[in-house]
Amino acid sequence: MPIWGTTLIILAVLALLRLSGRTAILKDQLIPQLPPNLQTFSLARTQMAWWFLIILLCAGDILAKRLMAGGDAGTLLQNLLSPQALTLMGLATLTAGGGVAVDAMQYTREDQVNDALKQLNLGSYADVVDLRAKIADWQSRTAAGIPLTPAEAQSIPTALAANPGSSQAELTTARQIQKKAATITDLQRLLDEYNRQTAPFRTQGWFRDMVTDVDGTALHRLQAVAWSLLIGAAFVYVTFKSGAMPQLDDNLLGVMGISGAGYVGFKYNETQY
Amino acid sequence: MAEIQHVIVLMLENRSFDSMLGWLHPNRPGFAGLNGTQSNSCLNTSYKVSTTPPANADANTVPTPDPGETFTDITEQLYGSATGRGTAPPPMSGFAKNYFGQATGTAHYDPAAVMHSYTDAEIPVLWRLAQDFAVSDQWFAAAPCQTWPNRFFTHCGTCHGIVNNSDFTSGLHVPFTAPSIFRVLENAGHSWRVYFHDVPQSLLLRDIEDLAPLRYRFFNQFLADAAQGALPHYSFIEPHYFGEFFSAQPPNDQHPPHDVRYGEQLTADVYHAVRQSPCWQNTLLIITYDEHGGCYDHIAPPAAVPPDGLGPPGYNFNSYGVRVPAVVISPWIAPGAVLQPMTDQKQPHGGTAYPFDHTSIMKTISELFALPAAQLTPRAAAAPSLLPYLTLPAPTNNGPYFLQTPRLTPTRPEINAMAAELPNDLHKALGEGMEILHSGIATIGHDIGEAAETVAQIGARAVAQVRAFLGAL
Repeated sequence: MPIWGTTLIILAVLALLRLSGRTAILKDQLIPQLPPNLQTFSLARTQMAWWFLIILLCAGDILAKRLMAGGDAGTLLQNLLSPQALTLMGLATLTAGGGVAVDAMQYTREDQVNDALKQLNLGSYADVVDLRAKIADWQSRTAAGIPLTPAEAQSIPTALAANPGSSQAELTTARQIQKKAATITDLQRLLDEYNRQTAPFRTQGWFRDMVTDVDGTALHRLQAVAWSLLIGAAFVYVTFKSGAMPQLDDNLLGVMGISGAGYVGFKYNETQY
Repeated sequence: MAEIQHVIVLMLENRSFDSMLGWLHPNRPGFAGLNGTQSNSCLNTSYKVSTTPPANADANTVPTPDPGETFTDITEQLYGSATGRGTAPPPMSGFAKNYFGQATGTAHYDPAAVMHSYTDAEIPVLWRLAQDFAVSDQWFAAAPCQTWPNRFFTHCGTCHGIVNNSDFTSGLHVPFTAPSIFRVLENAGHSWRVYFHDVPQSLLLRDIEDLAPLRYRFFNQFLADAAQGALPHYSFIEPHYFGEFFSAQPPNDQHPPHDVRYGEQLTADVYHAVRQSPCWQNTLLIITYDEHGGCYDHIAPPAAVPPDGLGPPGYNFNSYGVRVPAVVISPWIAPGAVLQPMTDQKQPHGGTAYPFDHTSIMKTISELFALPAAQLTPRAAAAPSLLPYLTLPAPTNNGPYFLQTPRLTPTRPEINAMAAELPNDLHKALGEGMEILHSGIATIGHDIGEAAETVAQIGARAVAQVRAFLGAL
């Protein structure tokens, strides 16, 4: 394999990982109240991206070699992709689609948390950002001694025990302080609940997200990852070595099909954390 | 003498005896059930008791909407008029009228809903337990009031004369200061626990504030304690009042209009845990309801001993609330028994035997564990104990080992609809009570009115207060 080819692969993988960490490109966003960088990675989407990247790079390598060899322009694109490459891309896409379908069919734990947060007016991550801003605003107003607006002052606490001999002004001030404290507490509790409920759904890093579900390492996930890595690496090696995409054995394609089907089937019973 | 070491109480919400068990023993002489002739009138129409749900009603959520249950509502339900208190016994004639009068705007409150009774088709667990163990047709809510007064009566033998849930929070009666059975047990060296689902109402008792983090546990711990034979001497179980929407668990308190089947599942879970526990042979399990919740009952509440003379003008709690279901389960109780006051039981007043009410729980515990009698209010002291009814010479009534119950799983639209409902009086009071309990002030009542907060919203606020108060459980 030429050095530029290896460099290109490494760069492409790094770029994809970097992009996937910051955005939701490899994530299902089942809890939209979490920011993209905290969403869990999706095995099906990652597999789709993996095969897309491998076949794109391999096709690029073949094209580059043909161009450098100065071949006939009419045959430049001939047999660029092998039937097996198309099968692999198809399997990855079917696996991803199957995963999405399973999620859509079920009333998952993610759905329950998502729905409950919506009921608390936290429908998106933007709402969470707003909530944090509100808490900060109340805290700064309290620290600065800014009085309540007339509308806010209407909901003055009812269960306030006044000190004997308190003047009306002292009572009003005390009530305002308590109202501010109650509001901050209320908002902070809502934020605490958001953090508590979404904690199990935050990413634990790419690899752990790939191979674990709620019960820990899941065999159906592990086998899908292992076979994808192995066959993907072999695919690249053979392509770079021979200048053509490999003619994969039917059994190898069968393994990919079985691991994809196994993933979708077992996903029906799993909760991915 | 029955060898009871564990008393367990599961107190559900807002159903009258007739609405749940009125048709349990239709042909049994002396059983104070329904025979189909009982009725209420409203707008010149007679509404007879019926097991058929009103037209277009879901058979598991009758009555929908929730009936009225304030002190004024209950006065009208009993006497036919909201100002009619004073004549005794009450004619039980205003349930249909009061329900119809709850309607506002375009809402339709069909009076037939509060005259409806469930059967074993909808609530097979409660019926089976009532048939295989014992049921009382003479167990009354302690007061003709809402949830809080009746639950405080259960724990303290009084509600200090307060008749509505909201009066406790608005009148600075939270935390509630009467001495509770929990503290009496604690002081006497007996173990107790409250097992709860979301927001334990009993957390509002002042005298156990310091003990609560040690003694309050989620319901799952009850199942574990029962399985390990580690039940305390007294267990009090509180249902899901709000529901837990982060895990799609609906309310299981049976408070109208909540689906009764979820309460049935809870009842079955409690029974299975107890029946299959190593503690079974030494256990007394009481399943009852705090108040009737506006559902019809045909037996007039009799006179009662006032607990402390406190009360609103014209009423000092000298009569009981409406009859509620009470199923008493123990291997020491005769199968199929119907518990009624024993006429030869000595009464402090020397008159007719008092029926059971919620203070019978305190009385039973006090007798069982030889607690100081002076700790009981006059009402609780006069209440009949359950111990004389545990008549078998040996713990031989083992009942069913397992009850077949359908495991209902609510759908996503059902859960979302429950979460988006507006809170009932109990939800509001619990939200406000928990806020006062932890932060000493209440803003929630105003917020509900201002922002039309939903069950999910107010429930989340209340649960957060409970967690903050109890710390990590």
